[in-house]
Amino acid sequence: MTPQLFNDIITVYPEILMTIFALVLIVIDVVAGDKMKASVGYFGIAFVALVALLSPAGPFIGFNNMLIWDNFSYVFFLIFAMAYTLTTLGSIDYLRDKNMLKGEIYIVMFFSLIGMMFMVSANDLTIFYVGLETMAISMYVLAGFNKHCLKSNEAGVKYFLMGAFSSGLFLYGLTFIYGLTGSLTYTDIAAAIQGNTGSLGIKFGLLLMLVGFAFKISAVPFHMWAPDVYTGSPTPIAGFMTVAPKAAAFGALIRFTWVAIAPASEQWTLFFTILAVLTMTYGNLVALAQDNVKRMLAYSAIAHAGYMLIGLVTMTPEGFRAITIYMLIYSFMNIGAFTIIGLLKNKGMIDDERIESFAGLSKKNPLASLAMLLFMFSLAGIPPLAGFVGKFYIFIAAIKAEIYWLAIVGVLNSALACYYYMRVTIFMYFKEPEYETELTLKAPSFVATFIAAVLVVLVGFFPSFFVNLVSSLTV
Amino acid sequence: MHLEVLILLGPLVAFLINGLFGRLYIKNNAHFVAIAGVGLSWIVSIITFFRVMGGHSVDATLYNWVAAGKFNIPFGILVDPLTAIMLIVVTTVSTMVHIYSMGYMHDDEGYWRFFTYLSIFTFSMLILVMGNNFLMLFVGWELVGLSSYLLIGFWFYKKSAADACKKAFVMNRIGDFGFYIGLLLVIVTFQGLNYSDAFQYEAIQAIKANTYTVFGMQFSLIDLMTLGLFCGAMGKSAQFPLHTWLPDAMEGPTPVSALIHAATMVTAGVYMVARCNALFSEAHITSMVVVYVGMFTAFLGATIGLTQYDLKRILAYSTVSQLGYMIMATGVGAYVAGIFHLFTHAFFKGLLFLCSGSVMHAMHNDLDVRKMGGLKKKMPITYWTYLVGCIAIAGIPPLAGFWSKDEILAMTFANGHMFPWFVATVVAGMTAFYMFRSFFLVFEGTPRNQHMHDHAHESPATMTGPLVFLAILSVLAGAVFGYPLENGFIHHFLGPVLTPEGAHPHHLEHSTALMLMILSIVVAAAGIFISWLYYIKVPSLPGKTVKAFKPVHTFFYNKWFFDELYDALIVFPIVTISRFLWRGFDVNVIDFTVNAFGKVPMFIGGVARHLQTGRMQTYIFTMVVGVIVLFTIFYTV
Repeated sequence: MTPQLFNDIITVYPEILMTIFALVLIVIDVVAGDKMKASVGYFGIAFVALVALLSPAGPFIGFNNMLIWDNFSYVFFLIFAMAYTLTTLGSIDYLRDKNMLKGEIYIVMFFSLIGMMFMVSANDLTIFYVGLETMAISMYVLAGFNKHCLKSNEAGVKYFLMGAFSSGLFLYGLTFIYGLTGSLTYTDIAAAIQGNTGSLGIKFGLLLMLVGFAFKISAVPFHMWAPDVYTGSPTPIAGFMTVAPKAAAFGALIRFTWVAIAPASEQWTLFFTILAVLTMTYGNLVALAQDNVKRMLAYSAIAHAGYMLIGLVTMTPEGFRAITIYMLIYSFMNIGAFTIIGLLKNKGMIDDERIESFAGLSKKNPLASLAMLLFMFSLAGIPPLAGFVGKFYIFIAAIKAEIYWLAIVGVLNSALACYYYMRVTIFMYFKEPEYETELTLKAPSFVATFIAAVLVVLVGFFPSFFVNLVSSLTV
Repeated sequence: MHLEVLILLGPLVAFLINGLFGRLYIKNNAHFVAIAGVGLSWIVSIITFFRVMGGHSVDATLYNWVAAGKFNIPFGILVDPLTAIMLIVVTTVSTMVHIYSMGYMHDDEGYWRFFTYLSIFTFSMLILVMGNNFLMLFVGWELVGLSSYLLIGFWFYKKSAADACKKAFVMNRIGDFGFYIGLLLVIVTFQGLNYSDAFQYEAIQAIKANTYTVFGMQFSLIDLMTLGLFCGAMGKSAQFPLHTWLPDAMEGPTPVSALIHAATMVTAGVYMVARCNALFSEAHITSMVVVYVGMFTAFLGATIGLTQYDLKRILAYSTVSQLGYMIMATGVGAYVAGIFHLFTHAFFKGLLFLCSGSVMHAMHNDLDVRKMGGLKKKMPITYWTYLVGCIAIAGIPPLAGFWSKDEILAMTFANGHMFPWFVATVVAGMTAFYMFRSFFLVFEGTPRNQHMHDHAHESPATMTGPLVFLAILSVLAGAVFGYPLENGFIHHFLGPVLTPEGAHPHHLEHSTALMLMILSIVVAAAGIFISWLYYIKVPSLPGKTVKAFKPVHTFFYNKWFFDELYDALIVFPIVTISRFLWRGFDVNVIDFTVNAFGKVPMFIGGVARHLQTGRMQTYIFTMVVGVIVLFTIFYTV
């Protein structure tokens, strides 16, 4: 084996491992009896943990500069792994209740992870696009996973159609760039657009490509799919979808902006600024008006993407690191909240996810209410919980880059957001229940909620450990 | 690891166990945990006391609590003779009160809660006396305030109790404000939190000359900081003009009154002044203030005590008066005498309060002395122990109160404070009078309310046991510790820590001391005799006297109208202004503005949600419009 080949294989080694494990998972699914399908999920968790342990320490660059495995890829892999673990644990009870606990949900989710890893590790648009589609198609399947539910079907179809349209836009932009620069590798693109940033074609091509990214992170005005899809999907899956694909898109976007369009970065701050302000404000404003907690969290997911976009506006390494830490924190607090919403059942005449279902929950389920309270406070960014740490680094990055007004807009938006997060806790702790509700945390979902809640507190009290994880990241 | 840490851990662990598991699991067995905790403290305190006698001392940092840059806040303990004495006082009375409460609180719903609060209170008080720096003192100070608030308001569903705990807290807060300032001045001046930093003779001499003009008067820096600290003492030790909370605090359960308002919390101020003797002895203006505040408080408490009919209030005002003595002693520089009186007072006043609880138990929670009488036969143990308490507080030798009170009078005389000495002597006579007044009214004579009398009964052994124990201490504590005058055990024991460097203590001629001693015995005996004359021999005399001195009696009976004065001068204006700010300004201006800020986003959100039609056509259309608009922007920029 030549050193070159060896290097290439090392670079793609985590993805190879993941693919092998994914195939093993299929076998496990076939072997496992109908009542044992949860084991597929447990094996999946074991496998991602194994990959996390076995991954080589980078950086490795292979396949003619097309693929990179470095700490940045690794940290994002950890985010995906965390999302997978918590979602799997949190979904078992939910799926069993709805009589749809099948092994394939964990297999498809596992495959989507491979796509996400390729997206973040890609240094080449072809690789990126293949990763993107691997992830996206898995997501379409997951969104429509509840076959007997009209809303879930609608979510799947809508996501697919809109995704196809956005992929079309992305590819159209990509052809412009390829035509004008003659390359698909990020570094070559950067070299080619150096000194040629004024070109209208390049502008147009990059704009369309960034719109493709913006679609995946559900930035306004390319967000329209998000609330419908998140609301329609099975609840734990919705939690996964608000976190993992968004993290992958952000990871890839960071690499793309930092490497490929760095020479033109000044032009694009305006683009990200517009998107950031619109996304934050729109997400929060509409979330205010929601009475369905799941839908409210769907809009809040849009708003959180807006905060993270601030990190991109700064175009500094601090900004990118802030996005990474934010994404990490967001992954467990949001999935935790979705887990609890998924388990809440209402015996009245309203949807399970209506805010009224939470009324008086604190008396019936003090532990689950406490966890939900922690998630809500953390999402609202109240110190000393994890969410505050995330927001803190994002806003600090903006202040260091001397974009004060954007930090102020962000803080004002957080203040707005407090209202709708606090509403949930008010219902839980201060309202009398009108309908009979039921919430049972069985072992797997209890573990998921427990891990998420403990992390929310731990990150808040010992932020330095988690921040050190990303503090030396470079792209 | 120091053995003394166990003193702190006992009540703390008891508090945690009862607090966490009391309501659901421990319930009516809470006293086992609490008494085990405080009992451990008590035993270790006694051991510590003997070790300190043998020359043992501790001044150690247990761990660094806060480390911020160069600034460190250590969690440290100090064990020296003063601490040892305070430990004995606190843990002894606390243990007795714990045992007594088993009987007294027997049927209460909040049984476990009561013992939880007792534990945290004891812990707080121990932190206060054991800290080796000003911040620990402050932490203990505030914790004591909090836990006394909880205990006074233990029956929070009674409005009077809820008001009383609020009043106690607010009054203490006012004092604490001065205390903060004093503390900050100390910290800024000496650049350190530890007592050992602040009490260095050289350091104090170095800043002695710094003076400031405040309100046109010259104050030295030391005067200012000690005045600040003394404000805190006025609050905690119920000195004029912040004394009004203490009598109201009688709304709490009686064991609480014994613990907080006789032996521990109210003595915190005296302890603090004695602990800071190095500062106070150099502050001449403050010393004068301390002497006269103490003297006036002693007089004030005694005059009100003469006229009250509620047994616990009589004891409460007597406490105010006795605290005045202690404060006055620290003011004249007789720190040992002040702490000595604190020591003896803790036992006999704790005893008196517990007796009053026993009487209350028998009389179905009625405390009006006019309805009692002739309880001697019904409650022999309470009768005898109360008598011991009364003799002790009146100052008849050889019981405890005589030694300490006489020493305060003598030291005041020796230091040349003639007027305070005179007032204090008169107050001693008044004390003897009103204490025996309550004794005669309650226990002697004939029953005034036959119905209640018939139902009266002696209290259970859990209650009478502590009474007997404290009575024994009230008899012995003075003579054993304080004889001979100025040269007893306690003087040698406390002298080294309570004699400030550079101070010149005055001593009395032996003959003068004897004269004073005889005088104070005569005054006390006279008080008792007049009391006997009024309430046993010629029962019509009190009515005639009241008639003859109607205005004075009304004035004293209504506690010098302090509550009314404060209401009119402070409470009413503040409430009026606040009400205006609330109804007029807050609701109409601030709330309106804030609500408007809320309503606008809600409205926009309500409109914007309709953009989400659910139709794919709209969604794709929005995307395309988005692309076109963004491209236009980029094209033009």
